[in-house]
Amino acid sequence: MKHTRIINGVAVDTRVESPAGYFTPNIAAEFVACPDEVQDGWIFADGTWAAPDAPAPWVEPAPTPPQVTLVQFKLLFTPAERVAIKAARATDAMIDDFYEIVEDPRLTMVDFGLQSTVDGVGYLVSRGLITEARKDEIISGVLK
Amino acid sequence: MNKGNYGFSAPPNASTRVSPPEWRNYRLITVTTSGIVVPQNVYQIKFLVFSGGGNALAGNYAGVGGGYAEGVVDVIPGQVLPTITVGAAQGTSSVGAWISATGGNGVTPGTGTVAAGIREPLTATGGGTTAPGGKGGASSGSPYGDGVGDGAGGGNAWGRKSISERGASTPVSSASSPDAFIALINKRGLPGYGAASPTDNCGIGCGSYSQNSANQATVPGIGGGGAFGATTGQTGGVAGGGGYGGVAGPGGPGLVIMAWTEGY
Repeated sequence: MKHTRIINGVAVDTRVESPAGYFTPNIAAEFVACPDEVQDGWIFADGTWAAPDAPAPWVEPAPTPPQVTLVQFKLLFTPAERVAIKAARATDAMIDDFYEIVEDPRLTMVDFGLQSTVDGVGYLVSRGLITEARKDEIISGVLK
Repeated sequence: MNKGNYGFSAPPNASTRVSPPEWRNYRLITVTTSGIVVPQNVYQIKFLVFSGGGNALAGNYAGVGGGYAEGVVDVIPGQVLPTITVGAAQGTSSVGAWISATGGNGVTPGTGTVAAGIREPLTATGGGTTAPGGKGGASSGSPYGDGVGDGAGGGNAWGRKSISERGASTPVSSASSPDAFIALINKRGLPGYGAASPTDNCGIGCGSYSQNSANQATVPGIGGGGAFGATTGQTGGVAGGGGYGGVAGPGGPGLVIMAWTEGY
């Protein structure tokens, strides 16, 4: 018969010898008898001991989508791209609508976490104003 | 001469025991040890007891800090000390039934207990863990007081938060040299700080530097927490909590330091 302390439902300080004399009395009093197979880390629930599960796999945290100011948003495009988009706004209502929103003075940040922002940049690809690779660079929010 | 029950002379000033002006000798006990005999001309021993630090937890929680307890025990030369238990990660360290420090476990930091009759008792609790999200381990309780809770990325130190929460200008503590241990036992100097760069030497009480993007290169000192690592959380220093990472970092092991000065 072994002895162990159960802390947060987990076996700790498991040992064969009696804890008396090996720990201060308040801690020795926390030990309970347990089966011989129990080891540190075993789980005690509903009166039953069980070996611990394998550790949960690592879940990579989702990256936070970037946000940029209006000026930074425009600087994500090359001068040639900006000139071409400006010219296209005169004849393409979709591009004009997207840029009206972006240039609204009440807007403080352009959020690439919004699908509408990504769709707006994607529309520029469909009109041949930027490439798909450039779209990916732009929505990464990294200024060069 | 009074040989006493143990065949040795009675301690000097037996009726009014005082600690020596300085603890000049020490021994680090890193594994459970029995049968230590009190040396000649030694009448009191100071014990510094660090438990094991807590493992990092599922859900991105960093490990909590281990507990700490210290006290001065009156002894007689030739006396056999009780078993000194040194806990592994999350385990309890103890000097017989005199002084114990429980390990950090889950979200419960370790704490210390000193039995009645032990002189100059001091206990301290390890730092806690507060919220998930890529954290460095908490620091242990120490002679300088309770540990500091989980860090933003770097492992925490006794005195301060990790580098990412305190700025880069604060110096780190000295390395874990013999002089540093004597300084620790006599409480000279400041508690350890968090490391300020990946090349800093993490001394006693120093938490590890955080790079937040890879496994950590620097090793936390005694009591310091392990850093967050994107692939693997770093193991805490002695009694320090493990950092979180792709694989949860384990807490550091326990340690017992016994110190004495001949003639006292």
